[in-house]
Amino acid sequence: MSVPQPLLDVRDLRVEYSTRRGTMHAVDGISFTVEKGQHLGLIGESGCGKTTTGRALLRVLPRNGRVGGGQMFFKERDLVTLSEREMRALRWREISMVPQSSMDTLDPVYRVGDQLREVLTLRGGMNNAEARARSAELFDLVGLASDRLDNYPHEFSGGMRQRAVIAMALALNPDLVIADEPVTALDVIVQHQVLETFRDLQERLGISVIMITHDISVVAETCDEIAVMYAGKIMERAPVRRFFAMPFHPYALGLQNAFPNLARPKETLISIEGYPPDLVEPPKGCRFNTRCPFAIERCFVEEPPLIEVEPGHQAACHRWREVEQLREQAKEAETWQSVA
Amino acid sequence: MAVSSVTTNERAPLLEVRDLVKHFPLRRGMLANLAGDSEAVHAVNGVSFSVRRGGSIGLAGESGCGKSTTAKMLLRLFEPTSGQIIFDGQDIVTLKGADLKAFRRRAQLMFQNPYESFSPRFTIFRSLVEPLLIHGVKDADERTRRVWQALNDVNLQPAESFFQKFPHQLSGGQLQRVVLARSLVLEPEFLAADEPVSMLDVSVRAGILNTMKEQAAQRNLTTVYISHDLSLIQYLCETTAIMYLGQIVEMGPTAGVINEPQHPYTKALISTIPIPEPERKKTTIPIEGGVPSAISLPSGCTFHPRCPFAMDICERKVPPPLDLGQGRTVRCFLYGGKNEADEVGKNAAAA
Ligand SMILES: Nc1ncnc2c1ncn2[C@@H]1O[C@H](COP(=O)(O)OP(=O)(O)OP(=O)(O)O)[C@@H](O)[C@H]1O
Ligand SMILES: Nc1ncnc2c1ncn2[C@@H]1O[C@H](COP(=O)(O)OP(=O)(O)OP(=O)(O)O)[C@@H](O)[C@H]1O
Ligand code: SF4
Ligand code: SF4
Ligand SMILES: [Mg+2]
Ligand SMILES: [Mg+2]
Repeated sequence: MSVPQPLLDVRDLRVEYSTRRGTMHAVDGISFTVEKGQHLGLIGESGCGKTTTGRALLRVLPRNGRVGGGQMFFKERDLVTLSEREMRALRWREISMVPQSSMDTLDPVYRVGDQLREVLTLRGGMNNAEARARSAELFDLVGLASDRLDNYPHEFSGGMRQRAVIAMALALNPDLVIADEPVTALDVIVQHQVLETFRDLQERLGISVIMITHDISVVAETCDEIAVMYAGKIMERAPVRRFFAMPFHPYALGLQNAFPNLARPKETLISIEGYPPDLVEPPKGCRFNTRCPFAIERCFVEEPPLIEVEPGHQAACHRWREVEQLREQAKEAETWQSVA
Repeated sequence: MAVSSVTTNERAPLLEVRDLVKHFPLRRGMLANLAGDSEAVHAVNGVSFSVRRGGSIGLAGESGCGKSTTAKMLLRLFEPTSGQIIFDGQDIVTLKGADLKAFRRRAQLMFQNPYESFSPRFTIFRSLVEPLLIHGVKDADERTRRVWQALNDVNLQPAESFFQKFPHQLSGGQLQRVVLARSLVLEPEFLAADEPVSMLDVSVRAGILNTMKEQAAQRNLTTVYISHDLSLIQYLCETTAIMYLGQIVEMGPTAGVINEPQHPYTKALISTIPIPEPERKKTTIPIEGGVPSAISLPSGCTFHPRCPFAMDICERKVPPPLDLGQGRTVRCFLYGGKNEADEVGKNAAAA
């Protein structure tokens, strides 16, 4: 018998954009898996390649973008090699997406319910009666009253619109939902309601989610696994609890200093000064070397591979064996000032 | 009763806001006007607070609760519908001409978006020197010295290397430091910062927050910080005010408000803020629905339609601000005030 495969198994994925300045390596050889029912938090600062990764999985990249290499096994089929027709059959039904700033993507001139029904009839082949019943069910699932199906988008609050878009993504019972910053524009109370919706989906339907966000608190509260991206690479990947208890990568150590915690206020927050490298001409060696206080000579010549640092936990840093010492040093503000 | 600015009573508030109101009239058709229909967005509905010289207050609350509108009134960018803003003993609402210009030099506003704060065609030096020119700093060497000092103070070093740069040549974090430098270049006594870091990546936010904190302390600046992010206010402010639909529903020393919130809205708000600790079990206080429209405010306590503790009276009477001791106030009938409200009610009925 074969070993059970993960739902999604991404191996050495590369995505490039052609730009006037040359080829931009927006995603540069990343590997990760998502199990059935698992919620993976994909985090990292603006421009590190999160949205690009999500769009590559659905093969809905912008015109100047292309998958430059690697494999994306989904239920054991490689999405990279599927025909466009096969991909079309798979979108919405097996993998769907809640796009970034999607609450503004509802068409203002159509009723929300009609937009939902369109997905169900055109993509899902349902008749009108079926679609109506399913729409009500979906609204209920995301915590919207079904008598609001006849409303126009402007009659919804931001949080309601966001939930309507989530309802659309769920319309055809996908196995995997890619949610790109689904709560970023929302106030905390509404944000909480939407995140509860996601948790609920996991419990009730066993749906897998890739939650793209820049907020590690959101990952802490809703995900099982975390992957930290930096400049087109995955720097650390771990079970969420393990990541918060025992981070390995210097970028992750820095992030934990930089993030405020309302429940346990820090005396001083510490920045990771500087900015990510240009991905048209990425630096030699480790991509974090321009901002890393622990960089040694080797970091400027040799790229650190993502390797297992403890069971189920990977990091890409040459100095991972010294992590206990680095963790101590990382707590000092002076350590980080030395780079700036 | 204009008090001279040389009196530096450390205890006296530099800024005192009394019952500030701002309504934005909705322009409807002629018919509506003829019918005497004066609908308006009730953006700010009676905000009062004070800040001591060198003190800091944070205004927090959900989108649309009136934070920016309040800040703009403090800086005289919006005319209040009613209320007073006493700055160093003077009501600035009525200031005009030279007095207004003098006030503008003493009080500065730092905006949210660093990219929109500067003309892309001006060098950093030109953007920073402009306020000095407007305020009549005649000596060129003095102007250059002050621009250099401001850049140096916000940790853009060596300062002169930034003079000839253009905004697009700087990172978001550096540019936000330039925004701060520009608001410090006139050496103001008062600074209001509206969402000062919300456009920046979290990895670089801390640096600018630390610089703001340092500069405020060094210059004995009086500050008002505005943010929807309570953790930022927790980091920067001695006093925290929670706003809901244009009113301060709870106010007090920051640690008290955040660790032991009293108002049902504050409790709900704080309990839903995500915490970067996966092990932590949280109990959240769920509240229903979204914020009602500021055009037709709910009667009585404006939080009553969503409040899990709402009582009969909440729908009928406006809860007055109650003093809970230790500098804390709350507007909620759970803590008393019913009798007072009855008095107000009776008086209103009698009138
Ligand atoms: N169509 C495009 N053409 C050229 N470059 C692009 C294109 N789309 C994205 N990029 C670049 O690719 C990199 C990764 O972008 P991506 O949108 O994936 O980042 P992200 O991590 O989602 O960021 P954010 O948090 O800001 O949404 C960025 O440097 C971005 O500028
Ligand atoms: N110039 C204006 N004309 C009409 N209404 C306005 C104007 N400015 C603000 N408002 C309204 O006043 C209310 C308060 O807005 P304000 O911008 O002060 O909120 P805020 O607390 O700063 O919100 P955010 O967190 O979204 O910035 C809102 O209902 C807003 O739509
Ligand atoms: S490999 Fe070197 S530069 Fe990269 S994170 Fe590790 S120590 Fe820092
Ligand atoms: S006054 Fe009444 S409705 Fe308002 S917060 Fe207090 S209990 Fe709730
Ligand atoms: Mg993105
Ligand atoms: Mg605002």
